[in-house]
Amino acid sequence: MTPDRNELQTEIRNRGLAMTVDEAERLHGIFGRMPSPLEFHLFDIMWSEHCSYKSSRKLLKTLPTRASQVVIGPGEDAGVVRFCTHQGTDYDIVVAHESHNHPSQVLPVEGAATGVGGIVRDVYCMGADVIGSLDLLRFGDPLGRYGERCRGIARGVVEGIWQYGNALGVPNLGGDTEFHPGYDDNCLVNVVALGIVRHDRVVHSYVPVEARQEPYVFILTGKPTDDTGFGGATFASADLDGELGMKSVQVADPFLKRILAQANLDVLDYLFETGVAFGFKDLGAGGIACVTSEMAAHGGLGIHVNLDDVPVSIPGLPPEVAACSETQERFGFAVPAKVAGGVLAIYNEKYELPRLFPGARAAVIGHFTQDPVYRVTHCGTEAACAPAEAITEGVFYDRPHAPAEVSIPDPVELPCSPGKDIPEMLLSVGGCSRGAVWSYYDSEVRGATVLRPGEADSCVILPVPGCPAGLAVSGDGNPWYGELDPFLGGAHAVAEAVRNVVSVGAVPLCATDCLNYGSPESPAVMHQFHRGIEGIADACRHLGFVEPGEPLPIVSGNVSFYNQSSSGRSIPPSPIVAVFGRIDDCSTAVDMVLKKPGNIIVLLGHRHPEFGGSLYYRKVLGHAGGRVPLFRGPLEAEMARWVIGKVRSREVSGSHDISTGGLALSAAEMVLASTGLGIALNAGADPVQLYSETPGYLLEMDPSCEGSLPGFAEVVGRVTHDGMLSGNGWSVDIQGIRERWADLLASIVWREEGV
Amino acid sequence: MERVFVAVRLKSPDPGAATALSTLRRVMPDCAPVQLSRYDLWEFDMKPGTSDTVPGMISHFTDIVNPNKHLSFILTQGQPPPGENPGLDWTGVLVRDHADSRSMNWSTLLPRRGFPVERVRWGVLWRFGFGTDAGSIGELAMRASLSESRDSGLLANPVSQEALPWK
Amino acid sequence: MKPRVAVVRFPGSNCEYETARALDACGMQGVIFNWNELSGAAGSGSCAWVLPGGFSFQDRVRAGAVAARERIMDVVYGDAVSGKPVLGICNGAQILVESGLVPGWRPGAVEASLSGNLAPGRTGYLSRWVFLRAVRGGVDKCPWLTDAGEAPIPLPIAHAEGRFVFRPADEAQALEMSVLRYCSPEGAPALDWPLNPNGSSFGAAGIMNPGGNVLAMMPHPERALNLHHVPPNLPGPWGELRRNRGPVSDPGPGASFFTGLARYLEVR
Repeated sequence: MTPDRNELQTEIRNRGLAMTVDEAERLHGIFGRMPSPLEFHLFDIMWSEHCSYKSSRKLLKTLPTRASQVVIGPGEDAGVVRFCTHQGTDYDIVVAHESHNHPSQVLPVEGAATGVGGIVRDVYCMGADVIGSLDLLRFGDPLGRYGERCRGIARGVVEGIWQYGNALGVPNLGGDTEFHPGYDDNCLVNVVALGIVRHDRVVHSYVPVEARQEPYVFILTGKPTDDTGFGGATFASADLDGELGMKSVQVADPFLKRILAQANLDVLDYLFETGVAFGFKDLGAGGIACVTSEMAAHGGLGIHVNLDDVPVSIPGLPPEVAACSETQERFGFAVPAKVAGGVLAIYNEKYELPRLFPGARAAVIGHFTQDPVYRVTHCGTEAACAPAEAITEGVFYDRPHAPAEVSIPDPVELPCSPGKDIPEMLLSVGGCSRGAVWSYYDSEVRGATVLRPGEADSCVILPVPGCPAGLAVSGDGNPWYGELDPFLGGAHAVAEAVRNVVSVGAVPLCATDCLNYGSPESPAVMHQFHRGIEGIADACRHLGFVEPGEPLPIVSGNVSFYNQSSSGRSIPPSPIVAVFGRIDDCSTAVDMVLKKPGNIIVLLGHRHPEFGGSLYYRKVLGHAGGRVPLFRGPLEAEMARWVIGKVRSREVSGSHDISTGGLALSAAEMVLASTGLGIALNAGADPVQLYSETPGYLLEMDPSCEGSLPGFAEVVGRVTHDGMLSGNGWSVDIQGIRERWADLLASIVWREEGV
Repeated sequence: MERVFVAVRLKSPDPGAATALSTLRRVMPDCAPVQLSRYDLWEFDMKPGTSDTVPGMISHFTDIVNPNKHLSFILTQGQPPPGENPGLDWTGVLVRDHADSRSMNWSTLLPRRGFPVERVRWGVLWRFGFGTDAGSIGELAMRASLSESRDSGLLANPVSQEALPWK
Repeated sequence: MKPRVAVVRFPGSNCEYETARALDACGMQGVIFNWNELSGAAGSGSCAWVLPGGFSFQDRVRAGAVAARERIMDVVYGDAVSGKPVLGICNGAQILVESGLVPGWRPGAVEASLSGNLAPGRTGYLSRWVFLRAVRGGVDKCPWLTDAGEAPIPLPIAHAEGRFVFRPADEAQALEMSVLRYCSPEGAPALDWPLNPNGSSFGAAGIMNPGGNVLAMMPHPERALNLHHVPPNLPGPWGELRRNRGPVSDPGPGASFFTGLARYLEVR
């Protein structure tokens, strides 16, 4: 039977679906009949970019994902990597990275809060406890044409993050915040979460093979299902639109999540002690329908879900809404029927979910079946019936791509007057302190934080109580590089995050990425996407440090397309990468605070005249073009190994990587982070030496180290008593601008004093 | 000076109101209403002749009202917000801190941005919907509000907050 | 046997683990009880209570107000009135204030408030390190301050409602109860922003009850248990020590609150 395309078009429009008519036709073919409303919505979500990676899957396969330390790579809810052994027990870290861009543009507080809420669920459901999160934020120009809206969004996003994360009790480990007019219509809110789990207690997100031997049930727990999130998963696949956004953004509840997280730990203990095999998965995009079908299909089974058993807060929800609603704060377990009562008692009695949140409780809502069919019933009638594996099979597109490279030449003149340029850069939106953002975040809950945002290039925590192994984490991505050179945008996102982790003395273990781009239907955007992935892959292949010959593995990530305004203007290509590293003995970790007058300042990485996208061009020359610094893989790797070794042998007393603003701003930031010491550089008014953003490091070391420096290192200055940053013939009174530097962002964004 | 009140509530159920109501039912069942609603109540003291600029002014700040999630109502002193369940008897209590930074900061920010505002005060308006046989509902609402001890009252700490009837 | 100290987890608490670990590290045994484990907590034989930080009931209505009305607070209340040491940290302090246990002139009556931070140009949460000092009267009376000394103690704060407010008529006796006060890194009293981070009356960071056994404090000593917790750019001797020694696990500035209790329990 051939479907009527007009009829399919009408279904798509009336149901607010994001799928194309071709896709609907294909769906019709799978069923051999007109799909039910629930089937339409389920496949609409499963075939969205968010769930199916239909435009990106082929390219994502080119990323390096394997290395000896990887336990679980991309594919499940989060990546799992071996971390440490403490008192005979092996521990893994669990990492996940997502975007919540579109919702945050429409409802900044709720969008950002739900972003945190969603990413921590991905980590919890691997059996882990969440031990940190970070936020990579990209806002429009706060002083530009749409400044008022951008400032409001920035305030709201920060508020949503603190209201959720602080209450949940997950320390915020910083991240970064950039402002660029390319985000005026479309902010980016990328969220990373990390957790710790005993290696023998990693949980998978599918029904185990034991379900072929004995009856298994599906338990839904958490917030009662409602209708407000209906359609959210397909949100990212449509242009930004206020009306659509209203329906889709969720109301997050960190209070309920905190109780659920605690109860989950008890349930995991109970299940492990009982010795049964089980599966555990969070409910995100597509709600009950996605979680139950994926759990069954990935375990090779079927499931029968009875929607009448779903706890709801709104009676009479249509089956497609009850099944596909994105109600927050829910988890699902696949457990043997015989232990279901024990699990329910933990949620409903020990943790009193029904008393603490109206309508919240855990309930058995489905039974796994041997025949691999996905069945949903509602009020005694069948609402969906599909082969389970068809649901997870997905669709695939090989999108055309074509270069549309911008090439803006470098300026001829490079004026340089450090005494004026350096304060100008420090007191710009791009160069000022992010302390205003961090001041809202609780970075110390859990009592395991060693280095907070702003004290070093990475935050460092002690994941396992009593174990000296430290975990360092940093996330980066430079939009100015990305827009001038999409390849280098990707490569430097990896390289800078690696440097930040190395700078505290940690060995990079793994990375996550979130690839934020415009529409994949635009060949120019697809080209940027191709080049960005190539850049990330190239950098990862050079920057593996655990086993010789192995790359830095990408173990989890996310693709966010359609980051564009309603007029179709895309954001700058924005690959954002987070890197996680281990310091075997955390007491050797190094921060960027200067320690002792007379110590030498060592530069790693000789400067090159490459200023494209640099803060110097942007702020001092007002120039938006030029050649982006090259990614020099072998040198990056060699420098990193040297730094790690020198930190381990306690020969480095302070460190900071060189990125935005070049050597001059790195040195200035070390002075700003310190308690009154300064730096005297032996550089004159040399723009290449001072402002080039050629990657590198600045290290504070004992003068006795001077004789044994490798070829890529040179002494460029000394630590002084005077609190100044100076060079040959110039000086900057850092103490005199400290307060303004620290306060600038608050004055512009929160107090609206810059307008 | 012209005083304008703007009451703002969530379109979705307000968890703060739900927690307050269930706590009142547990600890002070005799004062607990059938329904309890929560509003942010903004009091704007405007320069003479400018009170009609309030809606335009607040449209610049999604921190105050974001139409994607909020409903807002312009009210006069003591005027009930529209849309309350007509089957119940309604009364209200406005709870405000004697001093709070939200009021202070908006009082500074709005004039600096050029809006004709003399002073802003922020508070929470609790609206109590009692059964029609509940008796003197103003008194019940005030008893439920003033937290004199851990056994008595909930919504306002009388040391730092005022609780004003909003009939 | 090590003395047991009960740590109460309210719905929404989030500092219970590190608080229990701090007690363990200082010679006691921290045992976490859920809000509804009344008989367990009451019969646990614990010598003291700690109400940890967090967001009980998401600070809905008012920070601490709903948790103060949970039934387990009846148990804590009884023990507090009979003289058992009780410490409330951050949200725990808010619960003690809303329970009428501090200042506790008339136990059970609400006689103070922990109100929203007052700070120029900002609203809401503030995380940062501050300095505070124990006042002599408190050091003598309060078991938690046995080891506090009089030197400035750096500790982190992380709260949106940390401003102690009293009725004007109560100010004289409230000053007496304010045993922990914000100060400069050198120890000078800090009444104003930014050294007083929230506009608290008298720069009060913590207040006790007349018996001294109940202490409500906003800063988090459990987050400053070890030297590795101390920020490397902190002014004063603790910062100096941190820069010289690196992030090692030696005792930090917050340890004294717990060792003080341990010594008090030992002596008794």
